Amino acid sequence: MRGFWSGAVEFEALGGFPERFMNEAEACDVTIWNARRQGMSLFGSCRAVDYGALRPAAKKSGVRLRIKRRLGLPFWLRPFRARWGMVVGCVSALVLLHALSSRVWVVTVEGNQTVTDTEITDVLTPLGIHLGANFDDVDIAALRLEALRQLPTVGWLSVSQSGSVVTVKVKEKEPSVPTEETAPADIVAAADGVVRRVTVTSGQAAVKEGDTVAKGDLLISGCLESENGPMLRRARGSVVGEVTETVSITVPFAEEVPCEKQAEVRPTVVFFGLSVPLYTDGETEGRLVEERRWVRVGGRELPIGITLTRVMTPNTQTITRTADEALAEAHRRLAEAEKPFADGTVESRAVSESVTENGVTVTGVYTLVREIGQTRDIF
Amino acid sequence: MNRREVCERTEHALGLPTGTLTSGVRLEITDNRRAVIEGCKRIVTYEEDEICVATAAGCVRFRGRELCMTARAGEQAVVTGRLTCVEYEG
Repeated sequence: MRGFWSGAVEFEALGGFPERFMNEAEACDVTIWNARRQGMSLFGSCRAVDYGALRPAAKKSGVRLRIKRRLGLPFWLRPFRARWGMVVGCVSALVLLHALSSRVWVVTVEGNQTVTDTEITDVLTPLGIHLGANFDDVDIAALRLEALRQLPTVGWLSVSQSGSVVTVKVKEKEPSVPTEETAPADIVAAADGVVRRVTVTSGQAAVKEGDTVAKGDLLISGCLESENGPMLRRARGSVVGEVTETVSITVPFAEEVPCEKQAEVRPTVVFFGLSVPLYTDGETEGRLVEERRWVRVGGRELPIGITLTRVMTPNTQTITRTADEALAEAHRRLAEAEKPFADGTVESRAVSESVTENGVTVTGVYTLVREIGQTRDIF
Repeated sequence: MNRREVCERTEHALGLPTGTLTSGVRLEITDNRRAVIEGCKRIVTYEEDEICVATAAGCVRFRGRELCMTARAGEQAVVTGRLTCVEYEG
């Protein structure tokens, strides 16, 4: 529409000499459009800023001017003069929306199993896929090659964009099957015990059921006698034996336990890639633990949130226990120590307790039936 | 020989379109709905059924119905409506 941005006025010139009025207007460099004659009146339009310049022309030609309608953006915005903040807000919102919609604000990773999202996004960040990046500037083909080079466990990777969301799909490589070891080897005793069962798959049994063996004794030999002399093989099989294990746990009544203390919290507000630290920058000593709290909408993280960086410093904590508490703690630790015995069978368990002036000692003696053979290369 | 005649003879001698060197009036009419005039000096008559404009070569009078001068800038004017007659005077 003509005159929309600067504003336009529809007017009526009544009586007088309309032709002279138009000629005078032209002489004043005022452009009149849509001029039409209706009876004694002449209707036309001009720019709002030129309307004042029409008055001398109207006076000379004897016409009376009357505004019929005001058109255009300035007149449309006039009612909002008292609410200029709203107009500025709307314009700012539109500008922001336009500026931010072409950027990357959410990066999602799909298909990864062993590689974490952070590992993948850390690789992609220097390659151009990060919050606030312009996706059009990214060379996807080069990015894929470089990302696959830096992520050796990933076999395939694709990057696609949908609005401000970039989706990274990966497929990890299948784990390779370890090749079977073929070097000549014996199976020897990993602990002292009494042999209960011997199963030989390859090699020559050196012990039989009921034999007592010491740690390091040969159980299954990889050296086979033949008509052509000794042949070396890799001994394979199972030797189950009865072994005795002793576990002793001492829990003092007063104990100093190493721990960490939170020395400082450093919050940082993150808003669309802009990080605003809410702390003074200074030297810190200790371990930094980062905790991210992002705004989530529909299960998807938005680039708005707070990052809390906790500075943890080494510290010690003194724990004081009563006799009962020390005993309970000793039994808890003993149960923890028994967990490795789960790969065998516990045939007997004898637990004894003793209390001294410094603490409580719990001793467990176990009779286990488990695999005692371990492979040892001959060469 | 005045300046205008010199320009007209030069145009003729060089085979240039009329109005190239002279400030002649150009009139372009599309169907019977729209007429564009270049070289319009002033408006002589402006009525619903008649618009007359003065040019260097005389007056050009448009007759018709619902006539409207939709644009006028400098020496150019656009007349729209249902044209029934175009007359040259002078």
